[in-house]
Order: sequence, then C-alpha cells, then structure tokens
Amino acid sequence: MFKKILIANRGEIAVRIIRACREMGIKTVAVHSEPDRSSRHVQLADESVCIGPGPATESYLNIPNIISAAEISGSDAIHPGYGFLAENTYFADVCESCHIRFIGPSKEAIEKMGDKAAARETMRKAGVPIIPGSDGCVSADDPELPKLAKKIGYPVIVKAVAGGGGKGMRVVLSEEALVPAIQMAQSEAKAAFGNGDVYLEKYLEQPRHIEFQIVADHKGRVVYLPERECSIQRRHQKLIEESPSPAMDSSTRRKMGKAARRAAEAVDYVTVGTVEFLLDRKNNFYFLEMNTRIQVEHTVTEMVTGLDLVKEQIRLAAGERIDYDRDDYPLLGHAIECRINAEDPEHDFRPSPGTLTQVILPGPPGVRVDTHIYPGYTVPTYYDSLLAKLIVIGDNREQAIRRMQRALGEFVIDGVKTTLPLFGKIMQHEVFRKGEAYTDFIAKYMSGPPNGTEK
Amino acid sequence: MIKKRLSELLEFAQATDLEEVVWEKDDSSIHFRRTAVPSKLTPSGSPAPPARESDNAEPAPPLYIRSTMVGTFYRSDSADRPPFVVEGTVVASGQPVAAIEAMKIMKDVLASAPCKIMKALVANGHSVEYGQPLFEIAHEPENV
Repeated sequence: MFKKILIANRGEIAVRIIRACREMGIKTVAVHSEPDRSSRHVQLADESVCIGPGPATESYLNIPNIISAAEISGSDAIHPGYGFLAENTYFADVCESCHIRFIGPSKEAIEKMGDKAAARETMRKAGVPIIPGSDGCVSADDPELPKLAKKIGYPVIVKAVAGGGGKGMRVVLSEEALVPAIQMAQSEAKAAFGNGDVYLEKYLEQPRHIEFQIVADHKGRVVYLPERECSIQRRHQKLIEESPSPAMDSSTRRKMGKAARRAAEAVDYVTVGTVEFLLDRKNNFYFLEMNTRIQVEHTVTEMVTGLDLVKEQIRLAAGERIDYDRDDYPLLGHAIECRINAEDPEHDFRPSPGTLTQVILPGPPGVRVDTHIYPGYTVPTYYDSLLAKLIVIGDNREQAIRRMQRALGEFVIDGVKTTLPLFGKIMQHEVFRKGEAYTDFIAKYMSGPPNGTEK
Repeated sequence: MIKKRLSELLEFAQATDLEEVVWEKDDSSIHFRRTAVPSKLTPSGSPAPPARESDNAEPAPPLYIRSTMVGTFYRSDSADRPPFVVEGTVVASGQPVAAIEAMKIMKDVLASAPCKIMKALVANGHSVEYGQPLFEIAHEPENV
C-alpha cells in the first residue's frame, strides 16, 4: 500500500480523498494555489505545498510544480481527483516516468476513452450499443453528407470530437440546416478546443442520462454497481443525481451493467470509472462516454451500496484485488444528491464569488454533506463554483425526496447566491416527483425567473 | 564531424529553456551553459513599494526574492562550488543568486533588480514551495 499520497486537487474532493487516506493510515500532502492557502484541504492534510498563483494553469495544472511537490515530500502516489489533471494522459505519463503511481487507469485507457470517435469505435467492436452516427469526422462539403444524415435519421446532432460542456454542439432538424450547423460547430470547436473536427449522431429526444459505476482490478475482474440517473442537467452540467433510477427495471439494469462491464474490459480498465449511457423511452440504451476518474456523484453510489469508492480506488491502484464478486449489488435504499453551487439561479446561473458570512449544515438522519466550506471562507473566482454536495438516503424515492426537502430547509449559506432555492423548487415539481424528468427538464421547467417579472 | 555535432547541440539547447547541456561520448564532452537572461522567473519581492519618506514611524516592510518554483533549493550550482551569493553580496539585475532543482533539472534563481543580499532564509538542500521567501534583500540604486 502507498505510504504517502499527494492530492492534486482542491475543494470538496481533496477533502474527501484526505479523509479516505487518513482512515487507511496513509499520509497526505495537499497542494494549493496562493488564494487557497487557508482552504480546508490544506488544513486537513499532513503536509502542504504551495504550487502557484490563483489561475489553475499556473497552479493546479502546473505539472512540473506538482511533480516536484511529490518528489520533495516523498509521495509515492498522486490522486488527481476530478477535473484538472484527472484525465490528462501526459500527466499520467509523467507520473509513471517519475516512479509516482497515478491513482487511476492506465494512460492508454484514458487515451482510448478521451477521443470520442475512437471510443465509439472501441465500443462498437466490444458489442456495446452506440448511437447511430457517422464513422469518424464529417466535413460540410462532402457530397455524401445529406445521404448519411438521412440514414441516421433526423433530428441529428453535430458534436465536436474534442468536445465537452456543450461546446461545438448543434441539433439539426432537417437537411437545409445541416451544412450551416456543421460549419458553425466546426468554428466553435476550433475556438474552444483548438480542434475543429466534428461528427454526426442521431439526436435522442427526451433521453435519460443513466450511468454505471464500475470497479476493476489488475487481474481483469470488473464489477458494475447500481446505476445513477443524472438527467437533471443544465447545459450538460449535472445538478442532481440519484440512485437507483426511477425508470429502471432489473432486466434493463442487468443489460446495461453488463454493457458497462464490456466497455471497461475493452480498454483493460483498472480502478474506478463510469460508463455513461442515454436511455430512451423504449428502454434502448446507447453508450455516451466513459469517465476515467472518480466522479462528483460517486457519493450516491456509496450511499446505496455502503462501499467507500475512494478507498476502493486507492486500493485497486496499489494493485490489490476486488474481494467481492457480485453484480446486482443489493440496494440499501434510494439516494439523491444536489450540487450546491455558488451561482445565482435567478440570473442565468452567473457565478457568485464572495465571502461566506454564515454556514449551517443540515444534520442526520440519512443526510451526508461533502464540502470544504466554513463560515468566513472566501469562494475564489478562479475555480468551479461547487460549494457542497448534499446527499440523502431514504427507504424509497418518496422518502428520499422528503428528506432532501427537510435538509435543504436546514442548509444555510449566507454571503453568496447559491443554487439551494432552485433545488427546493425541483423537489416540489410534479414532473420530478413522478420520476418523469428527462435531460430537458431544466430548460423546460426551470429556466427564467420564478415570478416571470423578467424576460 | 565535431562541428556538425556542435551546431546540433547548440540548436537543441536553444530550442529548450535548459540552463545547462552536457554531451558526453567516450572521453570527450561538450558543455553549454546559458548566460542568465533576466526573466519573469524571479522575485515578486520587487519592484519595491514606493517608500514614504515623510512617514518615519513605519519601517518599510522587508523585501524578498521569492521562489517561483517547487523544488530543492541550492546556494550554488554544484556541490564543489561556492555559493552564488552570501550576506552582503551586491547583485545586478539578472544575476543568479541560487538554483532550484525540480524533476532532475536545475534552474537558476535570478535577481530581477539590482539588490544587496541581507539574509539567506533557506538552507542549502532544503525544499521550497511557490512564493516562499528565499533571501531578504535591500534595494540598490540602478547604477551598481
């Protein structure tokens, strides 16, 4: 097992990883930027190293300083958390060449899943259902293009090969709009990622976002855990996650879980990862992408399985084996997570940095809060706006929703605008309560100010 | 042959930001060392906040040369050489005052303005983090 782990991240996930390490008897090294000097993860770690100024490119993405910090502190492994360097193959490679274990899959696995067109091809070969679409990139002047789009079937969606976060994406309803949409997506992708390659895919109306957590060891054993549904999103950013999905039956779960396992096996995946699918109303499911890291929403799976996924990830990265061999992991209840962000939902979710004058966390039973905030904490402008993850578990979905409403009511964060009030509204919404929310829920029911005074 | 190798090496050295390049084969070796060029790499200890001459009550805050890297701090560029600077050394802008090793590469720490070294704050061989004060300094007039 590792003796000392450097956590190349900040915020709640750095705190979460430090807690896992402490319980495992592993020493921790926090790295931080100058404005994060008094951050919670720095206070909790055994050691800390300042690695740069505020901007992430000069600190949390500064590979030489992070590797140096690992070297001077004698760390034998680096946990990248999520975001920042978590899916950076170059970083994984540098760690390896410096004899520091990167806590995650091999760089080959990250690479294969990181390029969306290549990932699609790998999945097709592995027998994982993929959304009908173009084989590789398309160009606007290809004479075969209209025929291809017709074969896929309108509506189709144009997506960037290097994409993420909704950039370089265009939905096309009919042939006349096809060429302009491809050109626009190409220039948007070029500007955002430096790579203008785009591809075509069938656009699914009202799909659910369903994902499977997988856990894999070096011996090739891959276990899938109960699904998470993350259909409540805004511009492809998840806001609420729950497990199990209200739409899932046990035979679909088994089919999807096995497909997720094949996806992981196809890239010789090790440690923890997530295979994302879209599920349509007829229970057809399609591979979306694989996230080769611990995810923000791993917590809901922990609540319903009782597993500690961060400890599992560390154990498996150290070469240990999976000692449970079951799929269809028993469910301990129904869990829901809300991501509390420092954003103003009444003003188009604009970021709301500032100093927290008051923080009161909700309490048990059945409530978990993963956070790095405290009264007096200043939310920096440089990083993402996640303040806390509020997770509840109930015997069933109805009880979990009631518990979430109770916990949201107790949660006090003063000093900045947060998404807390938005979640109160979603929990009350009939469509959500019925389990009928699709990925268009926020745009359809929650956009615009609540009282309609502004348009 | 040697000339070709030399120009290749020179090209390589110029294309990187390495301080030092050593090429060795059999018993011959070629050794390059970059002449220090002052860069952004140095201190946030300067420029100095303008001194308020009228207000003698508050002493000026100390000035520092700070580390811009994470790594191992060295007072000289190899074990058998004397330190770059000692207390009282007056250095010109761009002059190396120490070296930091990170990922097996040595980088010089350069003074960004003419100054006098008042006190060394980190012992040879100790690790340093970003922004850590390395030397307490006093400003010197430009024409040193």
